[in-house]
Amino acid sequence: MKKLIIIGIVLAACAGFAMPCAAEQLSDEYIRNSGIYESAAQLDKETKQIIEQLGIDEITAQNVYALDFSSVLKSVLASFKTAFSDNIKAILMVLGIVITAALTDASTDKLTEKNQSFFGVIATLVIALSVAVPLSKMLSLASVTVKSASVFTISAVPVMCVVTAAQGKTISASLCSAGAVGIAQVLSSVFSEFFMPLCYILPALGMCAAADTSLKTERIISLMRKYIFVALSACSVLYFTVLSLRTSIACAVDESTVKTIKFASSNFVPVIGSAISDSAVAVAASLAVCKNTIGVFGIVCLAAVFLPLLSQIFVWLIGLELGAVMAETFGILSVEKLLKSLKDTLRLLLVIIVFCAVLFLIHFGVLLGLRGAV
Amino acid sequence: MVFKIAVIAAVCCIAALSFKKINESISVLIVISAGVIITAFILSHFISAADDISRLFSFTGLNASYLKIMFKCLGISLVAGFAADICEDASYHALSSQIILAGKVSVLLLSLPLFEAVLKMCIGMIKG
Repeated sequence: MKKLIIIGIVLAACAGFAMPCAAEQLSDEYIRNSGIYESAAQLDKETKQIIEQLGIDEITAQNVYALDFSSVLKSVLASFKTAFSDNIKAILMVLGIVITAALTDASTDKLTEKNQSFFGVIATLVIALSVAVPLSKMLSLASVTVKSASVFTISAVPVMCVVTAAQGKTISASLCSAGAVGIAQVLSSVFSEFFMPLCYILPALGMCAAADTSLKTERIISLMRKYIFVALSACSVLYFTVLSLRTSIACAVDESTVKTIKFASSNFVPVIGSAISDSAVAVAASLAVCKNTIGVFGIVCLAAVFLPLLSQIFVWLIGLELGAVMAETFGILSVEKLLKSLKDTLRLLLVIIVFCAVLFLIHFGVLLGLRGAV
Repeated sequence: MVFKIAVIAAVCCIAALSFKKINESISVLIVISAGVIITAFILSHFISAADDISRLFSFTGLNASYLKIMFKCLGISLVAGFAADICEDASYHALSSQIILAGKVSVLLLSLPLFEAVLKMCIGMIKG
């Protein structure tokens, strides 16, 4: 009798240890069938390369959770290196012209008009022409990046919502899914119809103003920047508040629904009621691993989508800041004005891009934060 | 190089001052000669480095014609400034103003392609 009891305890312990392994194997199967691979296939080549560099060549729980700080840092540094090597020529051109204008300023100060050196104006025009092409490429990249993130969010968030719904959080999942799809479409169209034209107009205004320092457009540019910041902050706070409130209410409803079903099945279904209830726990464990894997993968993908663009913006901001400081030090007003207006435009673009990235990421974060109702 | 230029400038300055009381036109000629010699000296060193400078600028990928315009404008500014200074030294302010005006007009005419290119670019950016 004692032997039978000991054997029973050992078997129960083995079954207990086997459950996590079974959950992980099941979750990998769920991930394969969830549709996340199809969503990942829509990403562009550069994003896929970054994800492979991070060690996620296959979307499994093991690969995703093996992500470490050193591989992330390597990818970020590689992205900055690429951005630096792509744009260094134009930045050096700008700095070279600033230095030339500074060195020759004393010799060319005879030809001035309203305290503005003619050679300074020529130097400003040449800088404008040298910066225009890389700036246009960066703005096009911004448009493509937001569109790509939008397409990925529209395809990946519903996949995660389906898994969350299978865990028992049906109302929360449907709320998140509708919100994510809606916000992705709205952001994509607002970005291309409003923000992109603005980001093209502001540098053009800055270039016109730099050619004539009596034309003061910095005030217009700073005013537009200020009100866009305020509008974006207000929209994001409003959206996050509404999303959090609705998600917390939906969570409570989902939990009570599932607990009711569990209670009913374990108490009113004869013989196998409790077994059904307990097996639901095992399935939920696998689904939780699946959901978390897809969520983390989604966040990593979105970060990888935005990384090249953010690297380019930072490299240009540093280059333009350096040029503006040099122009200010040497007193070349027109060049300083131009570089400051370009810098302001890039800062505005950076804020808009970060806003878009956070809005896309928040849905994955909210879904990840939902605990299973079972 | 700077030492040689400083010595030439100092010698010519002293010579010009000495001749100013005797014959002012000779002192102006001495100043002009000094300026030409110093400019030739600087240009000889600049021309030897011109290949390196053009290679550096070609590395940046910018259209070479824009850089040519920029350096031509720089040359016009330097020459016009030098000529205007000589006229001012000789107390001919009206002539100096005319030279400066000529320099400004030359720079404007030379830089018209730049203005056109920037204008086309701005219109293209605004149209999106």
